[in-house]
Formats: sequence, structure tokens, C-alpha cells
Amino acid sequence: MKGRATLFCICLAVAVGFGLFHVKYKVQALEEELARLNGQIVHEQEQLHVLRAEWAYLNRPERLEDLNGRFLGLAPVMPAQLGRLTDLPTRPVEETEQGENEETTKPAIGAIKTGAAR
Amino acid sequence: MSILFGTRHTRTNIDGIAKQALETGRTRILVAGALFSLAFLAIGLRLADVTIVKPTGEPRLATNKRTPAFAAGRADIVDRNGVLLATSLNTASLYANPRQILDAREAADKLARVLPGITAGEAMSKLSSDRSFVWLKRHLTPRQQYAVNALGIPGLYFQREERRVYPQGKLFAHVLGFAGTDGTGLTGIEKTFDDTLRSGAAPVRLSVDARVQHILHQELQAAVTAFRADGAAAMVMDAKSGEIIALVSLPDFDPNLPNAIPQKAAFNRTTLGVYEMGSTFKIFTTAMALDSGASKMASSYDASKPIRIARFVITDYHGKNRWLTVPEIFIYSSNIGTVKMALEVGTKRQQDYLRRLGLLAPAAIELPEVGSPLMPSPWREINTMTISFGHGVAVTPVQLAQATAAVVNGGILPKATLLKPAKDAAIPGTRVLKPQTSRDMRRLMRLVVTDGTGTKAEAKGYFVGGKTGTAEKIGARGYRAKALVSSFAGAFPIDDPRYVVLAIVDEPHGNKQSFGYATGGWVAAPVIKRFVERAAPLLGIAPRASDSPEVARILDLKLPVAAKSKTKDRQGSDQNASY
Repeated sequence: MKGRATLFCICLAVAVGFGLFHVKYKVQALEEELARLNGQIVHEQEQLHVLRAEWAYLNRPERLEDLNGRFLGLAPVMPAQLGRLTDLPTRPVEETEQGENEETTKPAIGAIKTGAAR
Repeated sequence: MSILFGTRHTRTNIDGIAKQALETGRTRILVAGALFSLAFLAIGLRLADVTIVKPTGEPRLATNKRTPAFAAGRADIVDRNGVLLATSLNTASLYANPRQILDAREAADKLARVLPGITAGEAMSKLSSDRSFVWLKRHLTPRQQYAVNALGIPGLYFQREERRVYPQGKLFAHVLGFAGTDGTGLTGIEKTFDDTLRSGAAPVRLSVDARVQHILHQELQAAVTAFRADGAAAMVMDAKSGEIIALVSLPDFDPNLPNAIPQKAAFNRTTLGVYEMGSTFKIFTTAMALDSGASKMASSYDASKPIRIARFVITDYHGKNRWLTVPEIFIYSSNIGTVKMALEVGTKRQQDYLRRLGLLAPAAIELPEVGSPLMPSPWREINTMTISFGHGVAVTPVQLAQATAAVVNGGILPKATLLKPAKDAAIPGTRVLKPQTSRDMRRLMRLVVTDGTGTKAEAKGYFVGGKTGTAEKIGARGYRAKALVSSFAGAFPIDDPRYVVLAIVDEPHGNKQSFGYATGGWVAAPVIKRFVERAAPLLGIAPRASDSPEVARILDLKLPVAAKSKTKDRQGSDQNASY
């Protein structure tokens, strides 16, 4: 009885000691990981900062204009190109009825086509 | 214990000494036992206390106190939309310890191959010196740093340094200014907000818009090139809040290369340069005449004869040689008529109005480069006359823009600012003119563009209104007829002005397209037209049909023509002027 209790105590002590060291090393490893990640975060923030500067540099209006001239050829928007929704004429009613009579299967497309053709 | 008691029973006759020793031993054991039990009891209680009663130990969630933050050094400067205008980058600078260099010749050759701007000979002389520290190249790009590292030369080291970078290059040269190599702001916004920027907090947000700035810069540069001008200044200002959307002064410089800035380019013409604005000043003369009640829109003045005073003769450039109404005087830019209006306003009231419009005190803008206006002292009647058409008082373009904003926005003088105000911040401003005066002035300024000297500023659909100006510059011997300052000050859309625009070209020379003219109408007005056409869609202003009824209602004004036979009650002022 006494011997068994002693054995149990010794086993418990060993197990607890093992557990303690296990946790300790794990914490240490995690701390190292944390420090490494923190370092990485700072490094990446710095790189982000550089990239932001580069982004601003590459997006200079001057450069975009040059690229547009070489590849796209877009021109500034002229007043004639801008319109309002309210400026659009409303579609006459009889137009819709005609479209439905002609093509019952695809009334919507038919209506749009007639609209576009006018 | 049984052994103890057994012994006691068998040896009842034991002598007193032994018995006493036994008693002492028993007491000691008892005391020690009691002490131990107490100690264990205390430990047990404490154990129960910390584990069961109030477990205060480790928190359930670990917090990381070392939150990493990247130290950026000097804070960024961004435009109103968050576009980066200035930032600080950590760069690597290359230095060498020549004593550790094994083969200087080989190292120099390799370095010259990967680093632009370093010749092999230059590197060789540096690397073969007998010092232990020598700079090779400051502020390498990350790619160059990698290339140098890849060479694997012993004795080369990197030093981390901070460098101020302006990604937009020349575009904001005069707004931002620049910071020196030690990270101190030397000019512009960099100087004004040096302390804020140094503390490295949130970025400083300016009111400028990079896209609008680019368009204004480009159009102004085109005018400078086309008319072989000495320089130019232009700005766009929010008519109500006074926020400066774009500010360009030419010639300009690249703030990334602060050591190579010519003195002429460093000069900020928009805020530091003072100019006699010429006819653009008639905006204020006409406004004060209408506001004070000295003139009415229908008043007319005799502009048929030049005014002679002392040794001066005041004539009209676009002479009509007849009686002119106030709108006619304004749109044909009649000096004679304007002088007569100013004389009715009087010297005292002219000074008051100009002071209230902020034209006699330096502008309170957030730049260290602010010019003080020049004005005559004493202010005689002859000064009143010349100032009425913009000669005799020299102001900075930013003052002119501010005062123009007050004239068109309903009569409230805004405070010119380069900072973007908070969303719901109150707009500072003081009332300087009656709303009716502002309404009349907007009509007159629209007439200048539709029927007068500023027709070249008409951007179809955006309703530009304004006033042209052409001033002669003062030389060593009086005014020089060939050296002009040509300007246009206006606003759009003029029925409810959102933006004040201003362009001033310094010493333009007429060219073939302008038939040799170098006046405000030929030089500055087209800049405004092209700028408005390109920038208005970006500024969120929709074009409207030129016969739009809403605009017509506000701007409708028929040009009243003064009848020649009309007898006027202005005889007094006429005599005043007829020396």
C-alpha cells in the first residue's frame, strides 16, 4: 500500500515535471514564432509602404496620359458625350404592343432591337 | 508510540533524569508537529484560496504587448482623394571600409557595372584610399541593393537612411516645397507643417486634387511654351469654402532633386509673387461701385475722350469713343469708364472695399511663401484712378482668387486654404458684398465671355464667366508696353459658381495663332477654356445646353447700350477727370 502510494507519487511528479517542461518549451517556441512574425509584419509594412510610393509614382497623371496616348487613345470627355437619364425620350406605347404581336417568344429582345434601330 | 509506552511500563523504576528527557522530547515533537501542521494548513488554505475562491492567475486570453508598428519617420502628405504626394522611404546607402577591400580594382569594376552614376575610376580612387569609411552611393533602390549584395564583395556595408520621396515629381513642387536631407521641411507645406509631419502621425490631407492639378499644369505649360512667356501662375479654388483644388506656378522644379533648383523656379508666383493685375481688378471696382450704390447697372459714363491727369493720359485699349453703360464699360474693359466709376466711389470707400476683399493684407494661406501686397502711400486721387483698372496696387494671385470668389459666391470672402477641412466643419468667411451685387457681377462676368474681351474662355456647356486683364509691367523707366502680365480671373458655372479659376501669364509674346496679340483675352482665356473642358467632368459638373432655361433665368441680361444723346447727371465726375 505504502509502496504503491510512493510509486504513484513519483510517477505523478515525473509526469507533472514532464508536462511543465513541455509547456515551457512550447511557450518558448511560440514566443520565437511571435517575434519572427512581428519582424515579418514590420518588414511587410515597410514593403507595403515602398509599394504604395511606387503605385503613386506609376499612377502619375503624366505617365497615365502617356500610356493612354500609346495604347488606348482615349480623349477627354466632351459635353456632347454626357447626357442625363431624364434627357432620354420615353418609348412610345404602341411600339411595345407591336413587338409583342410580332414575336411573342422574345418580346424583350425584339423591343430592344426596334428601340436601337430608331 | 507503543514502543515508547511499553518501555515506560517495563521500566517504571527509571530514574527522574531519564524521565525528564523523555518528556522534553515528547514536547518537542508535539511543538514541531503543531508547527508543521500549521504551515501545511496555511499552504492548503492559500492553495484553496487562489485556485477555488478567487483564481486570479493567468488571463484566459494572452495579449501581445509588443504590437509591431513600422516607424515611417516623417508622415505622408496626400491629396484630397488620398493620392500620395510625399512620403518617406527607408533606403540603403552604400559605404565601404577600404581597409577591408581585398582587390580594389576588381571591386570598383563590379560596382560600376551594377550602379549607375558611378564610374570605375571614381570607385577605384575611393576604394583604394587609406581611410576606414567612405560613402559610395546614397539612397540605393531595393534592386540596386540586391545587385550589390549579389556581388559578394567583402568590406562593403549598407547604412539605413530615410529619404523624402515625391512620387508626383514636379506636379506639386510649389505646394509641397521640399524637405532637406536631414528631414527638415525647408519650403512649402513641408515647412508649414514640419512639426506635425515630424511627429509621424496621420498623413496631412491637402485640399488639392492631383488630376485637376495635372490638367491645369499641362494647359498652363502649353501657354507658356506657345507664347514664350517668362512664367505663369494659375489656380483653382472652391468658390464657397476657399479650398485650393489646384495651384501651379511656372517654371517649377523637381522636389526630389532639391540641390538642383534654379532660383527662378523656386519662386512661387501664386502666393509670393505680387502683380499689378490690370483690368482683372475692374471686377472689384465695378463690384464696389454697384455695392455702394455709386453706380447702377443702367448708369452710363462718357468714355469718348481720354482722361488727362498730371503727366498721365488714361485711354481705352478697345476704345468705343462714346457714352458707355456699366455693363459695356465692364465687357469692353473701358479704363475711362472704370476710372469715372471709381471716382464716384471715392478714395476712402475704395480703400475700405479693397481691404474688406482681402486685397491689402497678405493672404493667410498655409505656406511660408506669402507675398505682401504693394499699395501707394499716400493714396491720392490719381492712385484711386489707376487702381480702379489695376495699376498701382500689386497683389498675389491667391489674393485675387480669394476676392474673386467673394464677388461671385454671393458676397462672402472665404479663407484660402490648402488643407481639406473636416466633412461637417463650418466654413469660415465674412460677408463683404451684398448678394444682389454678386448676382449682378456674375451676369457681367458672363457677358464678358459671351460678348466681350473673354470670348476665348467659353467652354461650351460649362458657363464660364470672368474678366480678362492685361497689365504693363513696371520697368526701370515707368511702364513697359512690351512687357505684359496677361490674366483671366473667372468662375464656373457662373450661374451658381462652384470653382474660381485664375490664370496669369507673365511676359507672353504674341505668336501667329494670336495674330501677335499677347493680351489676357488671347493668352490666359484659352487656358481657362481648355482647362474647364477637361476638368469639369472630373469636378463633377455636368454640362448643360447653352439655352438651358435655368441658366437663362439667372444670367439673362441684355447688353444695354448707352444712347449718345442721353444727358447724364455725371457732369461733376467728368470735370474732375478733364484736366
